[in-house]
Amino acid sequence: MADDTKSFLALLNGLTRKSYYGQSEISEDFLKEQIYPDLSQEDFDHLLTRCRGLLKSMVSADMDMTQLEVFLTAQSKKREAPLTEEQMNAVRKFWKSNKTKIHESIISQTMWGSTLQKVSWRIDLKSQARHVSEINAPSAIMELQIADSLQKDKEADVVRFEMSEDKLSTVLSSMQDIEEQINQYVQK
Amino acid sequence: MDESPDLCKVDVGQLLDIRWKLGLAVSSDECKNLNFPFVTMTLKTADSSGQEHSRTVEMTLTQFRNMSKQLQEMAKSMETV
Repeated sequence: MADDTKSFLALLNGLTRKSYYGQSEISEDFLKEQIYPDLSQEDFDHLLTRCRGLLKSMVSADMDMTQLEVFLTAQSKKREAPLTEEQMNAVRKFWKSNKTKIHESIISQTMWGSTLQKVSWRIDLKSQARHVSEINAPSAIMELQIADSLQKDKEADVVRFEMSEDKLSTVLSSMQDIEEQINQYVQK
Repeated sequence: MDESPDLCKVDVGQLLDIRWKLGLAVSSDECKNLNFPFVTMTLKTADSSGQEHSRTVEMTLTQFRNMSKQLQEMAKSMETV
């Protein structure tokens, strides 16, 4: 019955790639053909619904390993189609290697606005300027590539701006303020 | 920066102001336990004609820390000029 673990794990992995890792081209028929070619369509559909339900619960709660054990124990005591020991092993193995990756994928799917894709910069020395005092004063030029997270195929917008040394230090102190707030409110 | 030769042009805006907020996405339809912190920043710039522009961008903590690091490197490199 070790085969059961392997197949169940393969099904969980397939569904995850389809639903969370952007490989929507993976079809249910393909999964059946590859993993459970001998299973009846009805039994396969049941299995599919089961797996989807498990995934949904684990992903939604972003379960840690202790919560997963409690969850699995409950699932193995269900009157209808209790999880087998082999299936439970498959789920444990699956969740151990996918929990973080799935959560990250959920997070990136939750960013709907403009996101920062790339940061580049350059330091210039002004050789000519409106005011004599500006000559030879270094100036910091920053370029941000900002992309629409919902339209991945659209080219990123480029925002460029220049900062004097003073401005840069103001910006840096804002960054420090943000970092302090992060450390205060966000547990690692 | 070699991949953006456009930058050599002088039409670079001035940074006027940065406004920011730190947010925590708590929950979503797919994940009740989302717990995802993010930084939102609005950059106000003025182009060479004095026209003001605002642009808002969302960042994960990783993206924010990268930007912060780049700014620190800029400051360091400016000191040596």
